[in-house]
Amino acid sequence: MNRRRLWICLILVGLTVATGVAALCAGELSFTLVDIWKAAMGTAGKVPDLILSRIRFPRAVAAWTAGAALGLGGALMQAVTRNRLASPDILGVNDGAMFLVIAMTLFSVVPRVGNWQIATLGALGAFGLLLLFTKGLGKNGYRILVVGIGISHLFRALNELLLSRGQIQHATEVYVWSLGSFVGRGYASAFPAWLGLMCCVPVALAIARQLNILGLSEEVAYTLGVPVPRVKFMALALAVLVTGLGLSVGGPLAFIALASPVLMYRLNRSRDLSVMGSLLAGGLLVLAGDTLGRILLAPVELPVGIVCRILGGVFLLVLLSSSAQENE
Amino acid sequence: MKLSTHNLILRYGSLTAVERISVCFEPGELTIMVGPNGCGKSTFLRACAGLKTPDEGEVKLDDQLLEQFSARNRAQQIALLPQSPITPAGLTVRGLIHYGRHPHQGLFQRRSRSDDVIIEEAMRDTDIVELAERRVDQLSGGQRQRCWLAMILAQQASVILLDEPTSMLDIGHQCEILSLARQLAHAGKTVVIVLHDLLAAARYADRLLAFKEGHLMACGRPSMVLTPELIRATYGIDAKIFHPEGESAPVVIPQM
Repeated sequence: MNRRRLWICLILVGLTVATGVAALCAGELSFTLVDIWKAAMGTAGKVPDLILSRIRFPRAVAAWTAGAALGLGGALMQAVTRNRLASPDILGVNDGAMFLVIAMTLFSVVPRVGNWQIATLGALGAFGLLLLFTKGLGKNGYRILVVGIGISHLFRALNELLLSRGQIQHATEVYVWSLGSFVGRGYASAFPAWLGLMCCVPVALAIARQLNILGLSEEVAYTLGVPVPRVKFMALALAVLVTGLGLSVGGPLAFIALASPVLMYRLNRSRDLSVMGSLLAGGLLVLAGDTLGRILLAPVELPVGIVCRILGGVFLLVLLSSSAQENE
Repeated sequence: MKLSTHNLILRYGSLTAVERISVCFEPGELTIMVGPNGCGKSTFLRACAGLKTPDEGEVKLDDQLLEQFSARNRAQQIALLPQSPITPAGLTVRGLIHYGRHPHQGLFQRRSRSDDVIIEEAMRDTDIVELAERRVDQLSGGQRQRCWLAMILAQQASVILLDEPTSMLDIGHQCEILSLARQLAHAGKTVVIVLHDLLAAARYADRLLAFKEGHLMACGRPSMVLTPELIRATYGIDAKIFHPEGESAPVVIPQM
């Protein structure tokens, strides 16, 4: 890792901490830094303690974890498909996850809402289908994209169908989840994603250089000693796993997977995969989005998914227009 | 290391690209393969690098089958420069050449001092030192070609396979690259090049292989191999072969 990349990571960590503090302070009841210090020491009153230690901090952790996982998943997916637009949402991973969540919510013997962890299985299932239909990974990133878009539309149609057949209160609940929201999320929802990240990040770091070489061409990667099929499979599986875990926390958040790695390419001024950078950028974006969503229209809360979509859309337009200039 | 093929047959579906070829490439020798388009020489080269699995026969590195090598070991021994490789956007020249060090680096190991020395040397040998921090995709075709060649050099393999390495180069850089290949060969590497330019092939090759439709037509020193009959048989044209005074290499001149 060169010095520039290290500095950018440190700056991202700093921004994340600052945003985290802002997330604790801001809200319907706002607190000062002193209150936060007291709560951390356990000497704050009952109400601040409840709000800070039981609600806002766990929620911030959950939001950051979800964003970090989505950011990393997106970075891996873009690297392995050699396509900046190949985020897991486009490949049907999110829709597959949503399908399983809806199906479980509507059709389990005891209908229950809130078993969001099942989303990870849905994501893996959609990926399995993808591999089945592409018959292996294919030579270029293209076939997997086309099939992925097909699968994504299929699941989306099924989801609409299911939602229209389900009971209204369940459908509403699932709809809110599908927008992406961290209301009531905390350590328990973030734990599996945390665990997943702890396992996946070292593997991602280990295959990062091989993925960069794979970006040249598969032939060249092969002659440079990269075990091509194995690295591709590992990267895709990791991408889907962390994405599934990430969206099981607070629902499928659009644009994080797309924006985080692209942001890192820009900041690093390098096409190399930035594992830690994408992870930090994703976490920061979602944490900031969730905090904004809480305070922008207070007391009404804007789901973070909508904030992400608006910010992400603007971001993408700015990026595309600036990269068009650069290529001129 | 010695690279050899034994009764090698390569197919694409029902089409046979290479028909039972047995040759041996020795260290210290520059071999150049010539032949018309689609004669199977590139396919043959790919099989020598392990990129295409033999349909029949075998490829051996010294006395061991190529497929028995681990990916890493193979990459330490054999380097291949494919025909007009694609360069991704945003990669610097130094970054590209650094990839050539991959087979020598450990899992988490970053660039070491000795890697830097080797990278500098590769850039000097290919005359691209002043391009080091430029983006590869913004260079001219010839400059880009030399960057890729530098990456191959940085790989420090004992067998170097080059598929038309001079196709984009002006005559000055063509001569430099081929001289470099010759130097490498005479320093003990095994160098095999696919080339279309018969003049250059005759000039630089220690040994010439002529291919046609997957068959080996001739094999030997250029002055022995290059005959009007061979040119007629492989390319279907009439040509005169001259042996200029004071020159060891024959000159092929096609007849109108």
